[in-house]
Amino acid sequence: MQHSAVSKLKKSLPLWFIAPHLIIFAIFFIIPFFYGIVISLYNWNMFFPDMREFIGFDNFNSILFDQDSIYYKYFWNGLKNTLTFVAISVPLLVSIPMLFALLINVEPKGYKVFRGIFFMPSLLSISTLVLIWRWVLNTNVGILNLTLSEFGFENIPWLADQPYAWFSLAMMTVWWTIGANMIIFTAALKEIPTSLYEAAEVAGANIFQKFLHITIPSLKNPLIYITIMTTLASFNVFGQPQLATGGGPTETTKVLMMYIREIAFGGGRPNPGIATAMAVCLGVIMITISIAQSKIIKRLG
Amino acid sequence: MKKGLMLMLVTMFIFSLVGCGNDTPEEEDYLVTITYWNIFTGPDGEEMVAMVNDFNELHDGVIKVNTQTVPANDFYEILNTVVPQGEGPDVAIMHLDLVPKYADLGMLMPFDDLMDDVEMNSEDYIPAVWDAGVFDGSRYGIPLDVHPIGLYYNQDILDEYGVEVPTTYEELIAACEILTDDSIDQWCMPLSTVWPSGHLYTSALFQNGGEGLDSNGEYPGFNTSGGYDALKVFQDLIYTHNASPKNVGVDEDLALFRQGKAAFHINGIWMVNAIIDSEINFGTAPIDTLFGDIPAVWAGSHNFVMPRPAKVSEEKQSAIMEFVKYITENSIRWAGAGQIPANIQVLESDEFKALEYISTFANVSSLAFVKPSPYFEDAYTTIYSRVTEAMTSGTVNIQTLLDEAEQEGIQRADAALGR
Repeated sequence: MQHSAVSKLKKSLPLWFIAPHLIIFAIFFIIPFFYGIVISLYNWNMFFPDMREFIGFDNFNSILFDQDSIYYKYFWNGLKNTLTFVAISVPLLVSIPMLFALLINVEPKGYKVFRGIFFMPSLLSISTLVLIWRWVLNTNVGILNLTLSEFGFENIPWLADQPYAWFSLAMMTVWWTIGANMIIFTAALKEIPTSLYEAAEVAGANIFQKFLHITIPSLKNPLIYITIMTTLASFNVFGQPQLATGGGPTETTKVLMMYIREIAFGGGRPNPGIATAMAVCLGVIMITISIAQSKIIKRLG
Repeated sequence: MKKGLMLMLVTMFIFSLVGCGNDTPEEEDYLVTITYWNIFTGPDGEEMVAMVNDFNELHDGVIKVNTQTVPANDFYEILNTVVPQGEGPDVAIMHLDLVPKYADLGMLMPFDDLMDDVEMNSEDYIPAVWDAGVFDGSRYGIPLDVHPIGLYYNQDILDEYGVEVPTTYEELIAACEILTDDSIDQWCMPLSTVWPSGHLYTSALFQNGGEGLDSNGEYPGFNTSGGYDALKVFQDLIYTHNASPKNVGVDEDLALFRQGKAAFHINGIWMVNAIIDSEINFGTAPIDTLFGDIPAVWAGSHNFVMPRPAKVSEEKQSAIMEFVKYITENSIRWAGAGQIPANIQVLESDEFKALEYISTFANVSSLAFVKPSPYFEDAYTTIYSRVTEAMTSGTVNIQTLLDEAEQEGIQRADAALGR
């Protein structure tokens, strides 16, 4: 009798451990996720939810196809800017940490210090990060331009004009997130058995051949993981442009997430139906791209 | 977005806790308790809290005002979520240009029937700002202050070059010919291409005979010759008259002035204490005719509003009015925080006239407000990013910018109007 009670408890124990997470996950993720899809089908009145009106796919029609609608303009401009950020940042956020991981894997003198330094910015909050970089990048009173002007350079509008604004946003993002990806790559490199390299050396392979035929294939799994996670994170970019450029110059860095947030909660005129429709579209795009990425990388491997 | 949602839920949770706080026994000693939300997070917030404490002391045992500071950035978003639930504060501070929108959305209560009880008279307030608090024939806002933009000038630089404070555009250009000197990194008037450039444009628009909105207050009204001239002013100042470095970001203009590298700086009156702290030898002057012939200066105004509650007793209503009247009539402390009182008696008091920098900041008679309209944000503010564009490029076509801003303003107004 006692025995069966204990075994019962043992069986249900894991459930008790994950219950707090499950409940919070459901409240803050699962329910809002489906509720959001429902909202996207309504002309949702933020102030008087009773006055909402079911309109089917009209919100999707306005943002995707109705050229006279302001939301059409916002959606496509935001998507273009988000895609630009993804295209610029993802290659850098994958390749630079990989390079650093390779260098650290050689274990040069003081590599632990460098590993710490590279990882440290990841601990900063986004607002701190942007505050620091704005002091550096200010056009007329920033440290970078003041330094450059000592060498006779003109002031460069790092945040106020293109293409510098994209460059600056990518730079601060790389500086900020390099650490986490680097750690994953470093761990993966440690997993590669040294016997593989020794065998290759015996066979007369040079350093590039070793890299191409041993290191890269061994990094396939972390590479898939990092590429997909970085891409998803880049699609969700919000803090850097919101705080550093405010979406400027002339809304060229105003990413889709900024539009969505502004339309959903902004002090202006909240339109949750349109905002959630945009979010659903963004979600579909992200899912599609993630699947495609993992297929492509697997095939290459 | 997830972060924003979290923030909102957390905030709501905190407010719900505060809401419970109202039922604690110690406060049952008071006949009426009022919840009051303000948006003053700076040093002005301390002045506001002190004023509320004075009021509470005066009404000890009868009225208790519980004040709460909500950062302005989040204020409207939070208001949007709590007021429809009937969970809003009893009285709050709102920016004047948004009062008509919230009144139109049905989120505010009119003051009309309540004003006689406390003998609040229209003659006691600056007429332009008092009139702007009316929407659809009812009063929804009672002004606490007006906060215009104005000119800060560096007295030492002006003395050195023997230049007078300019009052017209011609004088400004002439001064800039003399004052900008690249070789010593000295500028006539650094102009931020972003905030608060929109307010500079609005001032120039009125000074050149332009209007913010059309006669119905629904669509943009700035695409006129006045609107064109106003926009051209800022492009020319930077690219023709060399008044300012290029691509000045937010607060970089302020930084240059505080470092003594700028002769002139245009900013809000609220910046006065920050500039006093810089220990620059400076003065202030109105900019009513600095960009055009018709005296006018953009000003904002903090207004008291009553968010629509589930139910409010008569005692509470008169307590609210008592409070609003007290704060506006005793707003001399508030003026010290960098504001011009909307109450004329305070404005004409000797105490106000003795406030250095603030009393010389603006001509109250030329303060101008964009026509009160629920569609102000939708139809007018699209011009702001085009002001930035004009100030960022010496070659961009001004008319194209106006056309684009007008087009976007019409589309946004259409979305708001459900057309």
